Amino acid sequence: MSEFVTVASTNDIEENKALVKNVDGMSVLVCQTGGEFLAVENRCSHQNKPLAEGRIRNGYIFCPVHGMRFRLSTGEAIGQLTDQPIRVFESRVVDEQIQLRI
Amino acid sequence: MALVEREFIARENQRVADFKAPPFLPRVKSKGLGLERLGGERYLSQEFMRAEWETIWTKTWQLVTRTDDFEEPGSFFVHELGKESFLFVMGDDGQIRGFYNVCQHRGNRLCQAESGILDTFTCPFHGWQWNNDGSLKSVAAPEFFRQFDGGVPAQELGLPVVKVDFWGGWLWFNMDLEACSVKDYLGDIGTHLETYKFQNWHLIDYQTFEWEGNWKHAVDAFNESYHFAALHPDMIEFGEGHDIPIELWGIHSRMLNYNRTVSEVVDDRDSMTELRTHMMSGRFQQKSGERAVAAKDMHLKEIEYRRSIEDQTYLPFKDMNDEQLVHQYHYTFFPNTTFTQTPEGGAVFRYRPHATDPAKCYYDFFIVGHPEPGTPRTERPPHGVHKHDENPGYATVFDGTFDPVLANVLAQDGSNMVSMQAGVASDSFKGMLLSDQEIRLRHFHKTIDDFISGAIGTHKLLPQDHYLDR
Repeated sequence: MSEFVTVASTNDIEENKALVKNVDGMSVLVCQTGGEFLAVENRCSHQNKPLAEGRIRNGYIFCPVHGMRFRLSTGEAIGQLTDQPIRVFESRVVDEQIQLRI
Repeated sequence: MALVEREFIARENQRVADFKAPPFLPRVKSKGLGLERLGGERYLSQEFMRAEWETIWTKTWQLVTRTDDFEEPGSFFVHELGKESFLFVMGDDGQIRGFYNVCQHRGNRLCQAESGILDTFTCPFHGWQWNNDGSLKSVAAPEFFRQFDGGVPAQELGLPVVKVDFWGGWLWFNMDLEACSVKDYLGDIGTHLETYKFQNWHLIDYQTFEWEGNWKHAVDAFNESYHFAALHPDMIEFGEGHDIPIELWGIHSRMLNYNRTVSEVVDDRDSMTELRTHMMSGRFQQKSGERAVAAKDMHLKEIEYRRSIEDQTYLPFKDMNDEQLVHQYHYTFFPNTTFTQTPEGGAVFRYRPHATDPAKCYYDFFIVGHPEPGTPRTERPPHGVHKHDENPGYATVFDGTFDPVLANVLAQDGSNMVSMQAGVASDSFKGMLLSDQEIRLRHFHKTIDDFISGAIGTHKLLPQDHYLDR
């Protein structure tokens, strides 16, 4: 299993905001919701558009294109547009650094 | 007069005042609406379904969702009624508007998510876009359209609007842009319910059942309690639905279902069985310390208790008549919305026609509660659409939000939809015989007929006392 890599500082991301990071050639969205830092692939499973710029509220992200909703902790798709989850990555915070395992 | 009614009227210490919601007792009679049979064709016919669409669904106020679902600009909610889909969205100016959810390019459903937050609505097909105030944002490659040689006609391509209004913490809409306000539409009978302060209530759960029967069978089923003893034997163990007061108010109506008593059709009305204990023990009952009474009299003790704490509780007991404190006030607003509740909580039912099939409908079930002030809203279960006979069943659908005993009652009602739809189609069926305990059905179907004929309508409402025989 791959190692954790540091992608951002906790100060870089405000509550309900996200940061796009390129990790190993993959576009990853690092989000803060409810004080937790979570990471998902920056790609909607409905029509493969980027999720960045989507509103984050109460643990969900809404795809900015068609409004598809995903639970950030699990990637679960909620609604009728698709039942395909988005990819989520294990995350942790060490010394205010957000680390992901891709 | 039902036994429970005699017992209720004989109480000592009755609170008499000019309450906004007048009590049902002593009963106000309704004018007779005839004794004719009600034919089955109206549940089966495409033609009747079309007439309902043209004269009722496109003209009457429809309940959508809680207004607090619109938390910020871009918050949206999609609602379907018959063949139509509607998009309700809060604009950047904080105003909630309603639109036909139709892309103005090729007619595709524009927004295909049920709820969420979006600044821009983009059609999945060719990518035309609208702002959250319904105005056109962009056309994909407008140079392909010779129609737009003189410029894109943004005004013409805005989303078509519907009328919205607010009542009781709920968003309502009407396809008729000239309709009166929802408050005027609900009239005096609507003001009764203002005593519950619905604007402070929270939505706890919202689930939809696709039932194999015409929408009017569902309205009919929930508009009378005569069926409790046969279809819902549990219900008469902790309440009374036998011979209950009913009032017709213009195009709307109400009835009283007694809680925390035992029906007079049950032999033993005194013992506190396990079921009765479970269903009669609301959160206030434990505090009252008055359990050593006959099961049938639990409601009387509870009323005394609630009166005794009316100065200490956030619940609006002071503004309520004695019946309201404990019993179920069941109101149906024409054509398809029922509010049924006690001061601390209840349910809202909405019945929607299927887009094309008169033998199908959608039964929407909202569970609502009146929490203490300052209680944060909790995340509710995702809205699901369930078939009657699918797994998981009703109790699982409402796990944690609705008592399993009552979920089972709902399952019994759902099972009846299929058999009613089939039964009224029989060549041998001569039409329904409706009792006085089913007068809301007679009234409901007469109101439908009067809307279809044009005798009454949203622009020609009946006086509220039209059917009351004071």
